[in-house]
Amino acid sequence: MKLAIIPLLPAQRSYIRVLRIRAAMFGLVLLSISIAGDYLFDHPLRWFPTALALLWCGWAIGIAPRRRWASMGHLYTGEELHRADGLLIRTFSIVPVSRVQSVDIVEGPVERLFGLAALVLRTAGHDENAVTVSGLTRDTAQEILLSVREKIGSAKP
Amino acid sequence: MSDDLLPTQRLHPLTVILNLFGLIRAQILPLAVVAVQTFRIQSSWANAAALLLIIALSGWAWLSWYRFTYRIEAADLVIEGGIFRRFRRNIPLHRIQDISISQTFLQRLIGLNSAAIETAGGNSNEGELVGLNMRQIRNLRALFAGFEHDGEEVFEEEALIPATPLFEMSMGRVLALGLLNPSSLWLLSLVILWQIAYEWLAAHMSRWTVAMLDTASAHSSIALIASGVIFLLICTIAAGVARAGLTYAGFRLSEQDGRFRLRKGLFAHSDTALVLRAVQMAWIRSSPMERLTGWRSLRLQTIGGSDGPSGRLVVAPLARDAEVTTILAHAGLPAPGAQDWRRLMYRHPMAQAMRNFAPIVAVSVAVGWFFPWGYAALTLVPLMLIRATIRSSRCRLALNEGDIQVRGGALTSSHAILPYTCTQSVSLTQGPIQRLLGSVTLHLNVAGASGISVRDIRPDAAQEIIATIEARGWQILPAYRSKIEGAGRAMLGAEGRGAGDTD
Repeated sequence: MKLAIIPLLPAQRSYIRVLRIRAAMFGLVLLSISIAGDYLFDHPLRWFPTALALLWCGWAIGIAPRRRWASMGHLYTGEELHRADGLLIRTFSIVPVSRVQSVDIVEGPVERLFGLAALVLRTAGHDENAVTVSGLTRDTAQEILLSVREKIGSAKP
Repeated sequence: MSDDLLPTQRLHPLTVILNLFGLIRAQILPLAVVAVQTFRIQSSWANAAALLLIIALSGWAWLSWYRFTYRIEAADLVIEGGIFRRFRRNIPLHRIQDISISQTFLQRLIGLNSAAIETAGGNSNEGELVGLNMRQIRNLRALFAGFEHDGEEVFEEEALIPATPLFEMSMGRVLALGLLNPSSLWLLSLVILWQIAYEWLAAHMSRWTVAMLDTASAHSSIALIASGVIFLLICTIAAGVARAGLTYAGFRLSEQDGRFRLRKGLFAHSDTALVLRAVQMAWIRSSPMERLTGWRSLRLQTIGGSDGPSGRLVVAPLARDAEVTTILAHAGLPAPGAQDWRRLMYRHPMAQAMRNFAPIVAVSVAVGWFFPWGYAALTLVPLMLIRATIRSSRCRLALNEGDIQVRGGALTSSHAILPYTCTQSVSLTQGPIQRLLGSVTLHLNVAGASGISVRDIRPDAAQEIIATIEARGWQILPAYRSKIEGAGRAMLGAEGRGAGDTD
């Protein structure tokens, strides 16, 4: 069941590839450590970490990215930003623009390859309540940022 | 504003002692090692080195006092300090609301205070002056009070003394608070102390005494256990009373010029200012014993958070309902209560069972396989199940005209009051277990601390709550409202039942 209260726009499809590349990079580290362990230790079960790492890679590169992408969504209404995300623990958040205290655009190296960006909105709430919208095109992120900036902190204290 | 209003000032010279203690406390381990080594080596070189170290530490403490200054410069309070890493902080005077004063035990011994500069909407720890005496604080307060009244400087002492208190903890009430909240943490330490004392007795007393103790326990073990239980009960109650006395003796809440002033303390004094405009929400709590006797405690949460645990400040540790309502009214918050309380939690005991019980059962069976007493942990399962059932049947939410109220809690009951306008953002989360059971967790994020979270509620109820907050708290565009309602109808169609017909 969907948590969102109105239909949301999907994230960019190329974000799936961003997730795959990120998982692959981490998987490479994991695999090289486990393979090194395979060589260094003499134990009947020394292949086990490598098998586990391979399994993780299969899931994180092959299966998870598309599912994660399918769970993602956002909608900027001019007054509020709606966002859904999360594979295992699904979240859906609404941030009213009038409560936003700061807005950032974050572009990781992999995201930059595909012209994607993430938008981070912070309210006066806790830092952990910062809402990150990933998988936006750079232009969309820019557009939302400019629009949000006009109304930052417009709520009365 | 003239710059000579407050020329460059230093903290009280005795602050050097505070600084020295701070340095020693921060480096206690290496210093202890050095001290022990010096004592063991007993050479003149080691003694000279230790002496040098003491001089260096004192010099550092003096230097950090010397370099720390504060002054008023062009309508800003400027705080400067640091020895190698210098810092400078400018706080515009018009943003300064008040000064909160607190005192640690050491500070109380030498008669100094910490003064925290409270600003509107900022971090609660924007500027702190550690090491002022009351005269210096009064001067500062007078200066800031003068600035608040449009430049008219008010130096009258009377203006600074709060009027009649809004709420006060009499000694009787402090005693009641202690009696109603026995301290169980102290119980454990007392048991350990008793154990140590017994071993010491056994080792140091004559054989006859020990033999007497042993025979006494063998002959009248029931009487001994009973007297032990009574003794521990008395200890926990005494510890609870002592704790209440230490924390809340002399507690006095008063209101003045749009802020609460809160004084308390026996050995460590504090005087906290709380700007009412910054109040975001209220929590009313009562422990089982307090509930039976009709007492409550009230906490307020402010924008900048507070030094209290979890960013909330206790403004009334033990109060009657009428007093709570009065304080809330002064804080600009609605009274507790609503027309329409609805049940909220959905399959919560089941979710708790899946979250917590499986691990408990697994561990206790695994331990019980080797040691039979491991199975005793299984008795936790029905207890926790009962607790989850009570919690889910107690949890209620009301959507009032201007505020949201949530009641809950299994043992200690809590009641949160949150104006719609103070919700910063809302979110729903759904973990794997909740997805299985069809429930969600609702988070209402509030400035200053973590706000309200309700686990395991029906998704349609959660969405209705969100829609209400959107409509009443965030003043959304009418065009958009119809969009939400349309979506809500679509959602209800899909769910097959109305969102409003819980209960």
